[in-house]
Amino acid sequence: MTNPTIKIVNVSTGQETERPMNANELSVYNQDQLNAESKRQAESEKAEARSAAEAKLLALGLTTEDLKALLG
Amino acid sequence: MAYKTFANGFPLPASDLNNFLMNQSVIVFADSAARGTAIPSPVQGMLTYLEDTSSYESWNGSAFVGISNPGDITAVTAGTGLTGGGTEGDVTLSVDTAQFITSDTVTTSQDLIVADGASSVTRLGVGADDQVLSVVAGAVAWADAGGGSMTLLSTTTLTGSIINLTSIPQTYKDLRLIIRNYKHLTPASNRAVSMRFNGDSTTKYYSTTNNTFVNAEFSSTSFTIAPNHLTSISQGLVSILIPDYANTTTVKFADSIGIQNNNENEYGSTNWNYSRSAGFYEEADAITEVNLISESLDFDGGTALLYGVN
Repeated sequence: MTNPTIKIVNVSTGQETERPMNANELSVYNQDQLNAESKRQAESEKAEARSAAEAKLLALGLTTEDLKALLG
Repeated sequence: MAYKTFANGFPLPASDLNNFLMNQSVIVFADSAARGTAIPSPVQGMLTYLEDTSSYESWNGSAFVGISNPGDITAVTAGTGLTGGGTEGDVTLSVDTAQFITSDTVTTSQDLIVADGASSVTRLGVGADDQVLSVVAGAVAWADAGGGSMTLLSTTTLTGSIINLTSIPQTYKDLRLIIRNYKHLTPASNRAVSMRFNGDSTTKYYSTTNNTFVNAEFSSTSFTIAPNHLTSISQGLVSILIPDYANTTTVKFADSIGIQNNNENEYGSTNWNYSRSAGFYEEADAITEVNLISESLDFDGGTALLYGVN
C-alpha cells in the first residue's frame, strides 16, 4: 500500500513536489490521525453528555426553544 | 440732396449750382462759428471741414456731427502674460508662454506636471502598477507602497494528506493564509485541518476557542485551524493570521476565523458554523514553514493562498 502523500511547496521558488511520506513522516502523520480521532471522540462524548443533559431538561418540561434560549 | 448728370449745352441755373455742386462739396471753415454764419440753413448730408479742430463734420438734419470716428483707444499695452502691443497702426498681442504651463510640458499619457523650481515645471511620468505618489529624498515621485500591502506568495491546490509551505520569505510583517473551498476525501463525515510550524511535531502546541485567560498547556503536536467540515460541501472559507512571524524572540500564534458546513449540529440539523480559534506555538524561532494536515486521509480539493502582509 502506498503511503499517504505530502505536498511540499517552496514558497520562495514556487516549486512544488508531491511524494509519498517517508517512514518518519508517516509515523508522525499516523500519530496525528490518532490524536485527531481522540479529539473527535472527546468532542463526541461531550456532545452526547450535552444531549443527555438536554434530554433531562426536556423531561422536566422545558421546550427545545427553551434550551436554545438557555444554552445558545 | 440729389445727384444730377449734366450734359453739354445744359443751362446752369444758380439752384443747380447750389444743389448739385456747392452743397455737395467739402466746405472749409475756420471754425464752427464761421460755418454757422455762412450756412444758416444747412441741408442734410452737407459736409464741412473745420480748420480749428481739423475735423470733418456732416449735417444730419439737426446738427453737424463728426464723421471721422477715430475712437478713443490711443494705445494697447501688453499686460501680465502678454507681449506686444502698440500705439498706432495694426497691433498684435501674443501670449507670453514663459508665464504659463503649456501642453508640450507633458509628452506621454498619464504624465503629471510638478514644479521643479520656484517658477518652473517639469513632467513626471507615470509609475509602475500599484505604486503610490510619494516623496523620495524631498521630491515627488512614484514609489512602492510603504504599508498596507499584501503580496501573494503562493497558491496551492490542496491534495495529498499534508501540505508543507516551505522557505517562506522573512521580509514581511505578518502572514495571512486563506483556505477556501477545502474538502476532505474520506470518510464522508466531518474532518478538520490542523496546522503546525517549521515541521515541528513535538508537543509545543496549544489551541483554544475561547477568549478567556487560561494556563496554556503546550501538550499537542499541532493545533486545529479549520474545524470540522463536511466532505460533500466545498464552500468553506478560513482566514488565518500569523503575526510577527519572522521574529526570533517571542512564541508564535495563529489566529483563525472561518465558516464551514458541519452536520454535527447538536439539534441534528445541517448548518453553517462560524468558527473562531487560535493556535499557539511554544517556540521563539521564526516561522519559515507552515504545515497543513488533513485530519481525514486526504485533502480533496480547495486552495491555500499564502500572503505576505506589510
